[in-house]
Amino acid sequence: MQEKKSINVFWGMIFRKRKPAEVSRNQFLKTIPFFEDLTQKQLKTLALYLHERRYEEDEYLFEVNHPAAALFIIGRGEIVVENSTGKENSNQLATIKSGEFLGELALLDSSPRSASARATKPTETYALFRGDLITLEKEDPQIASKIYRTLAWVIGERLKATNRQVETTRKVA
Amino acid sequence: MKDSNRRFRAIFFYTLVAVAVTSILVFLIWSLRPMILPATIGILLAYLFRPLKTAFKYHWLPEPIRAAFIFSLLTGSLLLGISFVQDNIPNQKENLELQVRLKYKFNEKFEKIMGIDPLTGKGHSIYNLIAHDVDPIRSGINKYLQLSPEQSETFMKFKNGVEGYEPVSEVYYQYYLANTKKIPNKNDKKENLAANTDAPAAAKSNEPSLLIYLLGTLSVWLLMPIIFIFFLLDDGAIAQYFIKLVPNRYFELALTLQEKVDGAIGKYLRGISMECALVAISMVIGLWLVGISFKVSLIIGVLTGVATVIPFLGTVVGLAASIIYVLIAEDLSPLIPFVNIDNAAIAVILVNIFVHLLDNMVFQPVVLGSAVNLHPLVIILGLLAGSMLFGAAGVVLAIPAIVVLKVVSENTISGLKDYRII
Repeated sequence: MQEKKSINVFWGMIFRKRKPAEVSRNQFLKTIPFFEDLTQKQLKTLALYLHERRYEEDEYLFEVNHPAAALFIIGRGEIVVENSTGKENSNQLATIKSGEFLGELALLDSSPRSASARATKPTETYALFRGDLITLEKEDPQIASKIYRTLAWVIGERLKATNRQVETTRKVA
Repeated sequence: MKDSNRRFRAIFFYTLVAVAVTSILVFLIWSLRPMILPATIGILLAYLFRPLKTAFKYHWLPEPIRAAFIFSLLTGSLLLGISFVQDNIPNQKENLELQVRLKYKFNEKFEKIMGIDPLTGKGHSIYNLIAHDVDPIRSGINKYLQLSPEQSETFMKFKNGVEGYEPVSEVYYQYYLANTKKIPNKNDKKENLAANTDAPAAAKSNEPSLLIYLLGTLSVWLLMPIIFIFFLLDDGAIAQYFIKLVPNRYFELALTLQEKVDGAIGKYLRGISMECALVAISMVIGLWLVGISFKVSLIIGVLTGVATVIPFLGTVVGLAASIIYVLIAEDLSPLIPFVNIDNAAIAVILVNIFVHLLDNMVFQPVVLGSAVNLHPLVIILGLLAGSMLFGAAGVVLAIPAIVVLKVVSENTISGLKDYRII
Protein backbone atom coordinates (compact mmCIF):
# COMPACT_ATOMS: atom_id res chain seq x y z
CA MET A 1 0.00 0.00 0.00
CA GLN A 2 2.82 2.28 0.99
CA GLU A 3 4.66 1.36 -2.21
CA LYS A 4 1.56 2.10 -4.36
CA LYS A 5 1.16 5.49 -2.70
CA SER A 6 4.76 6.37 -3.38
CA ILE A 7 4.33 5.40 -7.02
CA ASN A 8 1.21 7.58 -7.22
CA VAL A 9 3.13 10.44 -5.67
CA PHE A 10 5.90 9.89 -8.21
CA TRP A 11 3.60 9.78 -11.19
CA GLY A 12 1.49 12.52 -9.65
CA MET A 13 4.52 14.76 -9.78
CA ILE A 14 4.89 14.14 -13.50
CA PHE A 15 1.23 13.77 -14.44
CA ARG A 16 -0.34 16.14 -11.97
CA LYS A 17 -3.88 15.10 -11.05
CA ARG A 18 -5.84 18.08 -12.19
CA LYS A 19 -9.17 19.44 -10.99
CA PRO A 20 -12.28 18.64 -13.14
CA ALA A 21 -12.34 22.11 -14.64
CA GLU A 22 -8.77 21.77 -15.82
CA VAL A 23 -8.88 18.27 -17.27
CA SER A 24 -9.95 17.77 -20.86
CA ARG A 25 -13.65 17.47 -21.54
CA ASN A 26 -13.58 13.73 -22.13
CA GLN A 27 -11.63 13.03 -18.96
CA PHE A 28 -13.95 15.30 -17.04
CA LEU A 29 -17.01 13.55 -18.43
CA LYS A 30 -15.60 10.24 -17.24
CA THR A 31 -15.92 11.55 -13.67
CA ILE A 32 -19.68 12.17 -14.06
CA PRO A 33 -21.78 9.23 -12.77
CA PHE A 34 -23.93 9.39 -15.88
CA PHE A 35 -21.02 8.61 -18.13
CA GLU A 36 -18.63 6.58 -15.97
CA ASP A 37 -19.53 3.31 -17.75
CA LEU A 38 -18.66 4.72 -21.17
CA THR A 39 -15.41 3.85 -22.91
CA GLN A 40 -13.05 6.59 -24.13
CA LYS A 41 -14.31 6.14 -27.70
CA GLN A 42 -17.93 6.36 -26.56
CA LEU A 43 -17.11 9.49 -24.54
CA LYS A 44 -15.56 11.01 -27.64
CA THR A 45 -18.78 10.31 -29.55
CA LEU A 46 -20.93 11.63 -26.72
CA ALA A 47 -18.85 14.82 -26.49
CA LEU A 48 -20.04 15.67 -30.01
CA TYR A 49 -23.59 15.91 -28.70
CA LEU A 50 -22.86 18.07 -25.65
CA HIS A 51 -23.54 21.81 -25.73
CA GLU A 52 -21.16 24.01 -23.77
CA ARG A 53 -22.92 26.93 -22.07
CA ARG A 54 -21.58 29.68 -19.84
CA TYR A 55 -23.79 31.43 -17.26
CA GLU A 56 -23.18 34.67 -15.44
CA GLU A 57 -23.87 35.03 -11.73
CA ASP A 58 -27.65 35.03 -11.02
CA GLU A 59 -28.46 33.84 -14.52
CA TYR A 60 -31.01 31.03 -14.70
CA LEU A 61 -30.25 27.69 -16.36
CA PHE A 62 -33.97 26.95 -16.35
CA GLU A 63 -37.03 28.13 -14.53
CA VAL A 64 -39.83 26.34 -12.73
CA ASN A 65 -42.75 25.31 -14.99
CA HIS A 66 -40.75 25.75 -18.20
CA PRO A 67 -40.76 22.71 -20.51
CA ALA A 68 -37.70 20.56 -19.82
CA ALA A 69 -35.39 19.79 -22.71
CA ALA A 70 -31.86 19.15 -21.43
CA LEU A 71 -29.74 17.65 -18.67
CA PHE A 72 -27.07 20.02 -17.32
CA ILE A 73 -23.66 18.91 -16.06
CA ILE A 74 -21.73 21.49 -14.10
CA GLY A 75 -18.17 21.84 -15.36
CA ARG A 76 -17.15 24.83 -13.26
CA GLY A 77 -19.06 27.06 -10.86
CA GLU A 78 -22.11 26.51 -8.69
CA ILE A 79 -25.86 26.28 -9.14
CA VAL A 80 -28.64 26.57 -6.62
CA VAL A 81 -31.93 24.79 -7.10
CA GLU A 82 -34.89 26.87 -5.91
CA ASN A 83 -38.60 26.16 -5.64
CA SER A 84 -39.50 29.32 -7.56
CA THR A 85 -37.98 32.03 -9.69
CA GLY A 86 -36.79 35.27 -8.08
CA LYS A 87 -34.32 35.45 -5.20
CA GLU A 88 -36.69 37.07 -2.68
CA ASN A 89 -39.50 34.55 -2.55
CA SER A 90 -37.62 31.37 -3.25
CA ASN A 91 -36.32 28.62 -0.97
CA GLN A 92 -33.07 26.94 -1.81
CA LEU A 93 -33.58 23.21 -2.21
CA ALA A 94 -30.06 22.13 -3.15
CA THR A 95 -26.68 23.33 -4.27
CA ILE A 96 -25.08 21.69 -7.29
CA LYS A 97 -21.31 21.92 -7.65
CA SER A 98 -18.70 21.15 -10.26
CA GLY A 99 -18.89 17.54 -11.47
CA GLU A 100 -22.57 17.18 -10.51
CA PHE A 101 -25.62 17.28 -12.72
CA LEU A 102 -29.24 18.42 -12.65
CA GLY A 103 -32.40 18.30 -14.74
CA GLU A 104 -31.95 14.63 -15.64
CA LEU A 105 -35.70 14.00 -15.97
CA ALA A 106 -35.62 16.19 -19.09
CA LEU A 107 -34.03 13.21 -20.82
CA LEU A 108 -37.32 11.32 -20.48
CA ASP A 109 -39.98 13.86 -21.45
CA SER A 110 -40.74 17.58 -21.73
CA SER A 111 -42.76 17.80 -18.49
CA PRO A 112 -42.41 21.21 -16.86
CA ARG A 113 -39.43 21.75 -14.55
CA SER A 114 -40.32 21.26 -10.88
CA ALA A 115 -37.77 23.85 -9.74
CA SER A 116 -35.58 26.67 -10.99
CA ALA A 117 -31.79 26.52 -11.29
CA ARG A 118 -29.70 29.66 -10.82
CA ALA A 119 -25.97 30.18 -11.10
CA THR A 120 -24.51 31.68 -7.92
CA LYS A 121 -21.18 32.39 -9.62
CA PRO A 122 -19.92 32.33 -13.21
CA THR A 123 -20.64 28.76 -14.28
CA GLU A 124 -19.77 26.51 -17.18
CA THR A 125 -22.11 23.67 -18.03
CA TYR A 126 -22.42 20.85 -20.53
CA ALA A 127 -25.98 20.25 -21.69
CA LEU A 128 -27.27 16.99 -23.13
CA PHE A 129 -30.46 17.53 -25.12
CA ARG A 130 -33.22 14.92 -25.09
CA GLY A 131 -33.45 14.96 -28.90
CA ASP A 132 -29.73 14.17 -29.13
CA LEU A 133 -30.13 11.21 -26.78
CA ILE A 134 -32.93 9.93 -29.04
CA THR A 135 -30.57 10.32 -32.03
CA LEU A 136 -27.91 8.42 -30.07
CA GLU A 137 -30.43 5.62 -29.51
CA LYS A 138 -30.48 5.09 -33.28
CA GLU A 139 -26.87 5.90 -34.10
CA ASP A 140 -25.07 4.45 -31.09
CA PRO A 141 -27.50 2.41 -28.98
CA GLN A 142 -24.76 1.21 -26.61
CA ILE A 143 -24.08 4.75 -25.40
CA ALA A 144 -27.78 5.54 -25.08
CA SER A 145 -28.53 2.33 -23.18
CA LYS A 146 -25.73 3.04 -20.68
CA ILE A 147 -27.11 6.55 -20.10
CA TYR A 148 -30.67 5.24 -19.69
CA ARG A 149 -29.45 2.57 -17.26
CA THR A 150 -27.74 5.19 -15.14
CA LEU A 151 -30.84 7.39 -15.35
CA ALA A 152 -32.96 4.50 -14.10
CA TRP A 153 -30.50 3.96 -11.25
CA VAL A 154 -30.57 7.68 -10.29
CA ILE A 155 -34.39 7.74 -10.31
CA GLY A 156 -34.45 4.50 -8.27
CA GLU A 157 -32.10 6.00 -5.67
CA ARG A 158 -34.26 9.14 -5.48
CA LEU A 159 -37.36 7.01 -4.97
CA LYS A 160 -35.68 5.08 -2.16
CA ALA A 161 -34.61 8.34 -0.52
CA THR A 162 -38.16 9.74 -0.84
CA ASN A 163 -39.61 6.54 0.67
CA ARG A 164 -37.20 6.81 3.58
CA GLN A 165 -38.16 10.45 4.07
CA VAL A 166 -41.89 9.59 4.01
CA GLU A 167 -41.28 6.78 6.51
CA THR A 168 -39.37 9.11 8.84
CA THR A 169 -42.07 11.79 8.61
CA ARG A 170 -44.76 9.20 9.38
CA LYS A 171 -42.85 7.96 12.42
CA VAL A 172 -42.37 11.51 13.70
CA ALA A 173 -46.05 12.26 13.18
CA MET B 1 -27.79 53.07 -13.19
CA LYS B 2 -24.61 51.14 -13.99
CA ASP B 3 -26.74 48.13 -14.96
CA SER B 4 -29.05 50.15 -17.21
CA ASN B 5 -26.03 51.69 -18.98
CA ARG B 6 -24.59 48.25 -19.56
CA ARG B 7 -27.92 47.01 -20.82
CA PHE B 8 -28.17 49.95 -23.23
CA ARG B 9 -24.62 49.29 -24.50
CA ALA B 10 -25.43 45.60 -24.97
CA ILE B 11 -28.60 46.37 -26.95
CA PHE B 12 -26.71 48.91 -29.08
CA PHE B 13 -23.87 46.47 -29.70
CA TYR B 14 -26.14 43.54 -30.61
CA THR B 15 -28.28 45.70 -32.91
CA LEU B 16 -25.16 46.97 -34.67
CA VAL B 17 -23.79 43.45 -35.07
CA ALA B 18 -27.17 42.16 -36.33
CA VAL B 19 -27.42 44.94 -38.95
CA ALA B 20 -23.81 44.43 -40.09
CA VAL B 21 -24.17 40.65 -40.30
CA THR B 22 -27.50 40.91 -42.20
CA SER B 23 -26.02 43.41 -44.69
CA ILE B 24 -22.96 41.23 -45.28
CA LEU B 25 -25.18 38.14 -45.67
CA VAL B 26 -27.47 39.85 -48.20
CA PHE B 27 -24.45 41.13 -50.14
CA LEU B 28 -22.81 37.68 -50.11
CA ILE B 29 -25.99 35.84 -51.14
CA TRP B 30 -26.55 38.26 -54.02
CA SER B 31 -22.92 38.20 -55.17
CA LEU B 32 -22.52 34.45 -54.86
CA ARG B 33 -25.94 33.48 -56.19
CA PRO B 34 -24.55 31.12 -58.89
CA MET B 35 -23.22 29.03 -56.01
CA ILE B 36 -26.59 28.77 -54.27
CA LEU B 37 -27.96 25.96 -56.44
CA PRO B 38 -24.96 23.56 -56.22
CA ALA B 39 -24.57 24.29 -52.50
CA THR B 40 -28.28 23.73 -51.85
CA ILE B 41 -28.35 20.50 -53.80
CA GLY B 42 -25.26 19.33 -51.90
CA ILE B 43 -26.91 20.08 -48.55
CA LEU B 44 -30.24 18.51 -49.52
CA LEU B 45 -28.51 15.38 -50.81
CA ALA B 46 -26.56 15.11 -47.56
CA TYR B 47 -29.87 15.40 -45.69
CA LEU B 48 -31.44 12.77 -47.91
CA PHE B 49 -28.61 10.29 -47.48
CA ARG B 50 -28.08 10.82 -43.77
CA PRO B 51 -30.02 7.63 -42.82
CA LEU B 52 -27.74 5.70 -45.17
CA LYS B 53 -24.78 6.97 -43.19
CA THR B 54 -26.39 5.68 -39.99
CA ALA B 55 -27.16 2.36 -41.66
CA PHE B 56 -23.47 1.84 -42.44
CA LYS B 57 -22.33 2.87 -38.98
CA TYR B 58 -19.90 0.25 -37.78
CA HIS B 59 -17.35 0.88 -35.02
CA TRP B 60 -14.55 -0.46 -37.18
CA LEU B 61 -15.47 1.75 -40.15
CA PRO B 62 -13.98 5.25 -39.89
CA GLU B 63 -16.32 8.16 -40.58
CA PRO B 64 -14.49 9.54 -43.67
CA ILE B 65 -14.48 6.08 -45.31
CA ARG B 66 -18.21 5.77 -44.66
CA ALA B 67 -18.88 9.17 -46.26
CA ALA B 68 -16.56 8.33 -49.18
CA PHE B 69 -18.43 5.04 -49.68
CA ILE B 70 -21.81 6.81 -49.81
CA PHE B 71 -20.36 9.43 -52.13
CA SER B 72 -18.98 6.71 -54.43
CA LEU B 73 -22.35 4.95 -54.37
CA LEU B 74 -24.09 8.16 -55.36
CA THR B 75 -21.52 9.06 -58.02
CA GLY B 76 -21.68 5.53 -59.42
CA SER B 77 -25.48 5.66 -59.67
CA LEU B 78 -25.27 9.11 -61.27
CA LEU B 79 -22.71 7.95 -63.86
CA LEU B 80 -24.85 4.88 -64.62
CA GLY B 81 -27.84 7.17 -65.07
CA ILE B 82 -25.89 9.51 -67.36
CA SER B 83 -24.60 6.61 -69.45
CA PHE B 84 -28.17 5.24 -69.70
CA VAL B 85 -29.48 8.63 -70.81
CA GLN B 86 -26.62 8.97 -73.32
CA ASP B 87 -27.40 5.54 -74.75
CA ASN B 88 -31.02 6.48 -75.16
CA ILE B 89 -30.66 10.01 -76.47
CA PRO B 90 -31.52 9.83 -80.18
CA ASN B 91 -28.68 10.66 -82.61
CA GLN B 92 -29.12 13.14 -85.48
CA LYS B 93 -30.69 10.56 -87.77
CA GLU B 94 -33.06 9.25 -85.08
CA ASN B 95 -33.99 12.82 -84.22
CA LEU B 96 -34.97 13.56 -87.78
CA GLU B 97 -36.89 10.28 -88.05
CA LEU B 98 -38.72 11.09 -84.81
CA GLN B 99 -39.66 14.56 -86.07
CA VAL B 100 -40.92 13.14 -89.38
CA ARG B 101 -42.84 10.38 -87.61
CA LEU B 102 -44.30 12.78 -85.05
CA LYS B 103 -45.61 15.12 -87.75
CA TYR B 104 -47.02 12.33 -89.89
CA LYS B 105 -48.70 10.53 -86.99
CA PHE B 106 -50.08 13.77 -85.58
CA ASN B 107 -51.79 14.61 -88.88
CA GLU B 108 -52.94 11.04 -89.38
CA LYS B 109 -54.55 10.87 -85.92
CA PHE B 110 -55.98 14.37 -86.28
CA GLU B 111 -57.63 13.52 -89.58
CA LYS B 112 -58.91 10.22 -88.20
CA ILE B 113 -60.42 11.80 -85.07
CA MET B 114 -61.95 14.71 -87.00
CA GLY B 115 -63.12 12.46 -89.84
CA ILE B 116 -61.36 14.61 -92.42
CA ASP B 117 -61.47 13.45 -96.02
CA PRO B 118 -57.94 13.96 -97.48
CA LEU B 119 -59.39 14.86 -100.91
CA THR B 120 -62.11 17.33 -99.95
CA GLY B 121 -60.61 18.48 -96.63
CA LYS B 122 -64.04 18.28 -95.00
CA GLY B 123 -64.63 16.53 -91.67
CA HIS B 124 -67.58 15.50 -89.52
CA SER B 125 -70.04 17.95 -88.05
CA ILE B 126 -68.09 18.49 -84.80
CA TYR B 127 -64.96 19.30 -86.76
CA ASN B 128 -66.89 21.79 -88.89
CA LEU B 129 -68.04 23.46 -85.69
CA ILE B 130 -64.58 23.80 -84.12
CA ALA B 131 -62.43 23.98 -87.27
CA HIS B 132 -62.10 27.73 -86.92
CA ASP B 133 -60.36 27.32 -83.54
CA VAL B 134 -58.58 24.02 -84.06
CA ASP B 135 -57.01 24.60 -87.46
CA PRO B 136 -54.63 27.39 -86.34
CA ILE B 137 -53.39 25.12 -83.55
CA ARG B 138 -52.88 22.28 -86.03
CA SER B 139 -51.01 24.50 -88.45
CA GLY B 140 -48.90 25.85 -85.58
CA ILE B 141 -47.89 22.32 -84.56
CA ASN B 142 -47.21 21.45 -88.20
CA LYS B 143 -45.04 24.51 -88.55
CA TYR B 144 -43.13 23.57 -85.42
CA LEU B 145 -42.57 19.99 -86.62
CA GLN B 146 -41.69 20.96 -90.20
CA LEU B 147 -38.10 20.07 -91.21
CA SER B 148 -36.04 23.09 -92.21
CA PRO B 149 -34.38 22.98 -95.68
CA GLU B 150 -31.06 22.06 -94.03
CA GLN B 151 -32.75 19.31 -92.05
CA SER B 152 -34.48 18.04 -95.20
CA GLU B 153 -31.13 17.94 -96.95
CA THR B 154 -29.57 15.97 -94.04
CA PHE B 155 -32.58 13.62 -94.03
CA MET B 156 -32.10 12.89 -97.69
CA LYS B 157 -28.39 12.26 -97.11
CA PHE B 158 -29.31 9.69 -94.45
CA LYS B 159 -31.85 8.20 -96.86
CA ASN B 160 -29.13 7.72 -99.49
CA GLY B 161 -26.76 6.27 -96.90
CA VAL B 162 -24.17 7.82 -94.58
CA GLU B 163 -21.22 5.84 -93.27
CA GLY B 164 -21.81 4.46 -89.79
CA TYR B 165 -25.60 4.80 -90.02
CA GLU B 166 -28.33 2.49 -91.24
CA PRO B 167 -30.20 4.11 -94.18
CA VAL B 168 -33.55 5.72 -93.33
CA SER B 169 -36.26 3.08 -93.64
CA GLU B 170 -38.77 3.22 -96.51
CA VAL B 171 -41.66 3.82 -94.08
CA TYR B 172 -40.10 7.01 -92.74
CA TYR B 173 -39.27 8.14 -96.26
CA GLN B 174 -42.94 7.71 -97.18
CA TYR B 175 -43.89 9.71 -94.08
CA TYR B 176 -41.42 12.40 -95.15
CA LEU B 177 -42.95 12.58 -98.62
CA ALA B 178 -46.44 12.79 -97.15
CA ASN B 179 -45.30 15.53 -94.77
CA THR B 180 -43.76 17.65 -97.53
CA LYS B 181 -47.18 17.91 -99.13
CA LYS B 182 -48.42 19.61 -95.96
CA ILE B 183 -45.98 22.56 -95.93
CA PRO B 184 -48.19 25.41 -94.72
CA ASN B 185 -47.00 28.22 -97.04
CA LYS B 186 -43.95 29.74 -98.65
CA ASN B 187 -43.66 32.55 -96.11
CA ASP B 188 -43.08 30.00 -93.38
CA LYS B 189 -40.20 28.61 -95.40
CA LYS B 190 -38.68 32.07 -95.74
CA GLU B 191 -39.12 32.64 -91.99
CA ASN B 192 -37.45 29.34 -91.28
CA LEU B 193 -34.54 30.22 -93.53
CA ALA B 194 -34.21 33.67 -92.01
CA ALA B 195 -34.28 32.23 -88.54
CA ASN B 196 -31.70 29.64 -89.48
CA THR B 197 -29.31 32.13 -91.04
CA ASP B 198 -29.74 34.87 -88.42
CA ALA B 199 -29.57 32.75 -85.33
CA PRO B 200 -25.94 31.61 -85.57
CA ALA B 201 -24.76 35.15 -86.37
CA ALA B 202 -26.56 36.54 -83.34
CA ALA B 203 -25.24 33.74 -81.20
CA LYS B 204 -21.70 34.30 -82.42
CA SER B 205 -21.73 37.98 -81.59
CA ASN B 206 -23.05 37.62 -78.03
CA GLU B 207 -21.96 34.18 -76.78
CA PRO B 208 -18.71 33.89 -74.85
CA SER B 209 -16.37 31.01 -75.64
CA LEU B 210 -18.01 27.66 -74.91
CA LEU B 211 -14.88 26.45 -73.14
CA ILE B 212 -14.88 29.42 -70.74
CA TYR B 213 -18.57 28.89 -70.06
CA LEU B 214 -18.07 25.16 -69.40
CA LEU B 215 -15.09 25.76 -67.12
CA GLY B 216 -17.02 28.39 -65.17
CA THR B 217 -20.02 26.12 -64.72
CA LEU B 218 -17.85 23.14 -63.80
CA SER B 219 -15.93 25.10 -61.17
CA VAL B 220 -19.19 26.24 -59.53
CA TRP B 221 -20.68 22.75 -59.63
CA LEU B 222 -17.53 21.25 -58.09
CA LEU B 223 -18.85 22.83 -54.93
CA MET B 224 -21.74 20.36 -54.78
CA PRO B 225 -19.77 17.17 -53.96
CA ILE B 226 -17.57 19.09 -51.54
CA ILE B 227 -20.58 20.48 -49.66
CA PHE B 228 -22.25 17.06 -49.80
CA ILE B 229 -19.25 15.32 -48.21
CA PHE B 230 -18.78 17.98 -45.53
CA PHE B 231 -22.43 17.95 -44.53
CA LEU B 232 -22.52 14.16 -44.57
CA LEU B 233 -19.39 14.05 -42.38
CA ASP B 234 -20.84 16.61 -40.00
CA ASP B 235 -21.87 15.13 -36.68
CA GLY B 236 -23.96 18.07 -35.55
CA ALA B 237 -21.05 20.53 -35.21
CA ILE B 238 -22.68 23.01 -37.60
CA ALA B 239 -25.98 23.02 -35.71
CA GLN B 240 -24.08 23.21 -32.42
CA TYR B 241 -22.22 26.28 -33.64
CA PHE B 242 -25.47 28.09 -34.38
CA ILE B 243 -27.01 26.96 -31.08
CA LYS B 244 -23.95 28.42 -29.33
CA LEU B 245 -24.89 31.85 -30.67
CA VAL B 246 -28.33 31.67 -29.03
CA PRO B 247 -28.64 33.52 -25.67
CA ASN B 248 -28.97 31.25 -22.60
CA ARG B 249 -32.57 32.30 -22.05
CA TYR B 250 -33.60 30.80 -25.40
CA PHE B 251 -31.23 27.83 -25.31
CA GLU B 252 -33.71 25.03 -24.60
CA LEU B 253 -36.33 26.60 -26.88
CA ALA B 254 -33.76 26.82 -29.70
CA LEU B 255 -32.77 23.17 -29.20
CA THR B 256 -36.41 22.08 -29.33
CA LEU B 257 -37.09 24.17 -32.43
CA GLN B 258 -33.96 22.94 -34.19
CA GLU B 259 -34.94 19.33 -33.50
CA LYS B 260 -38.46 19.89 -34.87
CA VAL B 261 -37.25 21.71 -38.01
CA ASP B 262 -34.55 19.11 -38.61
CA GLY B 263 -37.03 16.25 -38.24
CA ALA B 264 -39.64 17.95 -40.43
CA ILE B 265 -37.23 18.70 -43.31
CA GLY B 266 -35.75 15.21 -43.15
CA LYS B 267 -39.16 13.54 -43.12
CA TYR B 268 -40.50 15.73 -45.92
CA LEU B 269 -37.47 15.35 -48.19
CA ARG B 270 -37.21 11.60 -47.68
CA GLY B 271 -40.98 11.22 -47.94
CA ILE B 272 -41.28 13.18 -51.18
CA SER B 273 -38.28 11.36 -52.69
CA MET B 274 -39.81 8.03 -51.78
CA GLU B 275 -43.17 9.11 -53.22
CA CYS B 276 -41.52 10.22 -56.48
CA ALA B 277 -39.62 6.93 -56.74
CA LEU B 278 -42.80 4.89 -56.13
CA VAL B 279 -44.75 6.90 -58.74
CA ALA B 280 -41.90 6.42 -61.24
CA ILE B 281 -41.78 2.65 -60.61
CA SER B 282 -45.58 2.33 -60.91
CA MET B 283 -45.56 4.27 -64.18
CA VAL B 284 -42.75 2.14 -65.62
CA ILE B 285 -44.59 -1.08 -64.75
CA GLY B 286 -47.95 0.24 -66.02
CA LEU B 287 -46.61 1.51 -69.35
CA TRP B 288 -44.53 -1.61 -69.85
CA LEU B 289 -47.65 -3.77 -69.33
CA VAL B 290 -49.49 -1.66 -71.91
CA GLY B 291 -46.76 -2.50 -74.41
CA ILE B 292 -44.43 0.51 -74.45
CA SER B 293 -40.79 -0.62 -74.62
CA PHE B 294 -39.00 -0.81 -71.27
CA LYS B 295 -36.53 1.98 -72.11
CA VAL B 296 -39.25 4.44 -73.13
CA SER B 297 -41.35 3.43 -70.11
CA LEU B 298 -38.35 4.11 -67.91
CA ILE B 299 -37.79 7.57 -69.41
CA ILE B 300 -41.47 8.53 -69.08
CA GLY B 301 -41.58 7.02 -65.57
CA VAL B 302 -38.54 9.00 -64.40
CA LEU B 303 -39.92 12.22 -65.92
CA THR B 304 -43.26 11.63 -64.16
CA GLY B 305 -41.52 10.81 -60.88
CA VAL B 306 -39.42 13.98 -60.94
CA ALA B 307 -42.46 16.10 -61.84
CA THR B 308 -44.42 14.59 -58.92
CA VAL B 309 -42.52 16.98 -56.61
CA ILE B 310 -44.92 19.64 -57.90
CA PRO B 311 -48.54 18.68 -57.14
CA PHE B 312 -50.54 17.63 -60.24
CA LEU B 313 -47.58 18.24 -62.57
CA GLY B 314 -46.51 14.60 -62.30
CA THR B 315 -49.90 13.44 -63.58
CA VAL B 316 -49.91 16.03 -66.39
CA VAL B 317 -46.34 15.20 -67.51
CA GLY B 318 -46.96 11.45 -67.32
CA LEU B 319 -50.23 11.68 -69.22
CA ALA B 320 -48.89 14.01 -71.92
CA ALA B 321 -45.64 12.09 -72.49
CA SER B 322 -47.25 8.65 -72.59
CA ILE B 323 -50.16 9.73 -74.85
CA ILE B 324 -47.83 11.47 -77.30
CA TYR B 325 -45.65 8.38 -77.44
CA VAL B 326 -48.60 6.03 -77.94
CA LEU B 327 -50.00 8.23 -80.73
CA ILE B 328 -46.77 8.07 -82.72
CA ALA B 329 -45.89 4.46 -81.84
CA GLU B 330 -45.50 2.13 -84.82
CA ASP B 331 -46.26 -1.02 -82.88
CA LEU B 332 -46.70 -2.10 -79.28
CA SER B 333 -46.08 -5.41 -77.57
CA PRO B 334 -48.66 -5.36 -74.78
CA LEU B 335 -48.59 -7.90 -71.98
CA ILE B 336 -52.30 -7.31 -71.32
CA PRO B 337 -54.33 -9.31 -73.91
CA PHE B 338 -57.02 -6.82 -74.95
CA VAL B 339 -54.69 -3.83 -75.54
CA ASN B 340 -53.76 -3.04 -79.15
CA ILE B 341 -52.40 -0.08 -81.11
CA ASP B 342 -55.91 1.37 -81.63
CA ASN B 343 -56.97 1.45 -78.00
CA ALA B 344 -53.50 1.97 -76.50
CA ALA B 345 -54.26 5.64 -75.82
CA ILE B 346 -57.21 4.64 -73.62
CA ALA B 347 -55.06 2.03 -71.86
CA VAL B 348 -52.37 4.66 -71.22
CA ILE B 349 -54.96 7.09 -69.81
CA LEU B 350 -56.20 4.30 -67.50
CA VAL B 351 -52.62 3.59 -66.37
CA ASN B 352 -52.15 7.29 -65.55
CA ILE B 353 -55.44 7.44 -63.64
CA PHE B 354 -54.49 4.28 -61.72
CA VAL B 355 -51.04 5.64 -60.81
CA HIS B 356 -52.57 8.98 -59.78
CA LEU B 357 -55.08 7.21 -57.51
CA LEU B 358 -52.35 4.94 -56.14
CA ASP B 359 -50.27 8.01 -55.34
CA ASN B 360 -53.13 9.83 -53.63
CA MET B 361 -54.61 6.89 -51.75
CA VAL B 362 -51.58 4.77 -50.88
CA PHE B 363 -48.19 6.42 -51.41
CA GLN B 364 -48.95 9.84 -49.96
CA PRO B 365 -50.71 8.61 -46.78
CA VAL B 366 -48.13 5.89 -46.13
CA VAL B 367 -44.91 7.65 -47.13
CA LEU B 368 -45.75 11.26 -46.34
CA GLY B 369 -48.17 10.44 -43.52
CA SER B 370 -46.16 11.82 -40.62
CA ALA B 371 -44.37 14.50 -42.64
CA VAL B 372 -45.37 18.17 -42.72
CA ASN B 373 -48.63 18.59 -44.59
CA LEU B 374 -48.33 21.30 -47.24
CA HIS B 375 -51.29 22.53 -49.24
CA PRO B 376 -50.75 22.01 -53.01
CA LEU B 377 -51.47 25.70 -53.66
CA VAL B 378 -48.77 26.70 -51.17
CA ILE B 379 -46.27 24.44 -52.96
CA ILE B 380 -47.17 25.81 -56.42
CA LEU B 381 -47.04 29.44 -55.26
CA GLY B 382 -43.82 28.77 -53.35
CA LEU B 383 -42.19 27.21 -56.39
CA LEU B 384 -43.28 30.09 -58.60
CA ALA B 385 -42.02 32.66 -56.12
CA GLY B 386 -38.76 30.74 -55.68
CA SER B 387 -38.15 30.57 -59.41
CA MET B 388 -38.93 34.27 -59.82
CA LEU B 389 -36.57 35.29 -57.02
CA PHE B 390 -33.64 32.90 -57.46
CA GLY B 391 -34.29 30.96 -60.68
CA ALA B 392 -33.45 27.25 -60.56
CA ALA B 393 -31.98 27.62 -57.07
CA GLY B 394 -35.30 29.05 -55.91
CA VAL B 395 -37.17 26.02 -57.23
CA VAL B 396 -34.87 23.64 -55.34
CA LEU B 397 -34.93 25.77 -52.19
CA ALA B 398 -38.65 26.57 -52.18
CA ILE B 399 -40.09 23.42 -50.60
CA PRO B 400 -37.49 23.05 -47.81
CA ALA B 401 -37.88 26.78 -47.10
CA ILE B 402 -41.68 26.45 -46.88
CA VAL B 403 -41.31 23.45 -44.53
CA VAL B 404 -38.92 25.43 -42.29
CA LEU B 405 -41.22 28.47 -42.28
CA LYS B 406 -44.26 26.34 -41.44
CA VAL B 407 -42.58 24.40 -38.62
CA VAL B 408 -40.90 27.49 -37.16
CA SER B 409 -44.08 29.59 -37.28
CA GLU B 410 -46.14 26.76 -35.76
CA ASN B 411 -43.72 26.10 -32.91
CA THR B 412 -42.11 29.45 -32.12
CA ILE B 413 -45.14 31.21 -30.67
CA SER B 414 -46.21 28.23 -28.55
CA GLY B 415 -42.57 27.72 -27.49
CA LEU B 416 -42.16 31.38 -26.52
CA LYS B 417 -45.36 31.14 -24.47
CA ASP B 418 -44.30 27.88 -22.81
CA TYR B 419 -41.00 29.46 -21.78
CA ARG B 420 -42.86 32.60 -20.57
CA ILE B 421 -40.84 34.74 -22.98
CA ILE B 422 -43.99 36.38 -24.36
